[in-house]
Amino acid sequence: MGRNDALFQFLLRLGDNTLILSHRVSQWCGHGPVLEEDIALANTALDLIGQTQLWLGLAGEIEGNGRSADDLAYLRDAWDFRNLLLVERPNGDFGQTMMRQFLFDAWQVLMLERLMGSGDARVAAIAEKASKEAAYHLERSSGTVIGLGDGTEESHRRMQAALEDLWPYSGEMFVGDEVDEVLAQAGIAPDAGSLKEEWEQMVGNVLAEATLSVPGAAYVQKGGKSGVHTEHLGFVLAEMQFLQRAYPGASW
Amino acid sequence: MVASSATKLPATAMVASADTVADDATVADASMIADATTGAGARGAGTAKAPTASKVASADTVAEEATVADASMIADATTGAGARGAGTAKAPTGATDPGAAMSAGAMGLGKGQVEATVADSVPSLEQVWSWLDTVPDPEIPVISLVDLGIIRDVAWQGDTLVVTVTPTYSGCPATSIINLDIETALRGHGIETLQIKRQLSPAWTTDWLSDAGRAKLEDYGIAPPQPAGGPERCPNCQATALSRVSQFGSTPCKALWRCDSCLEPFDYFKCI
Repeated sequence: MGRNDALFQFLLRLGDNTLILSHRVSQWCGHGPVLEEDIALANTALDLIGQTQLWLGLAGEIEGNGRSADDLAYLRDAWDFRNLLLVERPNGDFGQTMMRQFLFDAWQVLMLERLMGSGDARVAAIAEKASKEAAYHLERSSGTVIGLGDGTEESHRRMQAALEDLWPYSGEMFVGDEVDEVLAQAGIAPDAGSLKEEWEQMVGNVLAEATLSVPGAAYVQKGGKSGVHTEHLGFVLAEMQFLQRAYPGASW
Repeated sequence: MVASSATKLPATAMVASADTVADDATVADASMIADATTGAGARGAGTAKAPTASKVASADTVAEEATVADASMIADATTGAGARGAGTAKAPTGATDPGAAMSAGAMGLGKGQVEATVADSVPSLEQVWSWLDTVPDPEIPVISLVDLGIIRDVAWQGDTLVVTVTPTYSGCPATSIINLDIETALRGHGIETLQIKRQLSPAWTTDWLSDAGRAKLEDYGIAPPQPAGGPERCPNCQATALSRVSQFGSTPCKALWRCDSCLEPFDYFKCI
């Protein structure tokens, strides 16, 4: 695999992660448990969609076929998406949404930190911009996980259930493939597995404070990075892409 | 039933077209200003002629029907009158009044003559910075784009003015409005060739807010950012006992806090 092809795939992964998670989080708009949380979720989604524009914009540039960030977001089908399975998991209850956010935020903060030192200046610049937002998201999602985990009996029970449900999907973040290897060798992106230890420590500390127990070794659900998705992604895309599919080129 | 749906349809259609016109009007207005200004480059005021009465009159006739049409007509009127150097983005303000359109044309001519004296030199960078300092942030209009620290550079490259702007938050919806405001303002000052460049790195930090900007924010009721991560005092009563209500507020750049003393909620400009 050539370096350019690998970089294109890698940028799709980053951009699709933020795009699909942004869409999921935006589905809370108007449904948050309290107004402040509703606004916070919408703002988080907004940051993520902004990052998506940057990542997918660069992906289109690297690909060189004239596809814009919008083209990539709205005109690809499920098998061309490269996001982690974790981010397409259904929202569930508020606790489940925040647990998913927390597991992703911790990984994203570490990934962006590494990418700030990327040998590709364009990647480094986007990472630098996004990392400030990601750090803020992590601060919030950690706080919420702690608050709810170490909250009432009911909130604790729900957070523990959310953790167990999502945990098998966290492993995919650290499973590398050819794309990761090519880019690691080129000094553009870190080796996927290299983030694992730090992530486990970071997540472990928060979960301990949240009085939640880390699930034991579980089967790793993976496939999203290479386009093999769960059935949930199709529903996300049906909603997200409807307008552009039904009315091509519509804008406002 | 058939009748009622038949009467309903046109109504819907009308609303839809009204929307379209409204949207287009905004766009046309902006580009029209650009056109008028471009045509108005301050070169050779000597060639400028006052708009002919007939052009202005036809602009007015159309003006009663649609803003879109009158905007472009006026733009036509300005350029059609051979008004190179007839300064001006002011022409559109006369759009609904033939007399005003006429005097705008006349005013433009006068302005063109004045500007002709500096026709061969470009505005100084200092001058451009001071123009930009009058462009308000679209969401927090008390501070300017310069106060906000997002204008990273202004430079002439040949006869192109390059303005380098960095976004506050990557998803901030104000970003495109900000670029449009910069363009409109500078074209209004007669800048003909303009490029707005996005720069991501170094990433924007609230350290770049000017002192004047911080003071203006506080006056406006928004607590300025602090390295400690929370507001220093209540912008309303200056008390220091404060509680955070939410990490996010009405825009991505703000968080919501409350004063424990006066009990007023207030926005805090996040420190990043």
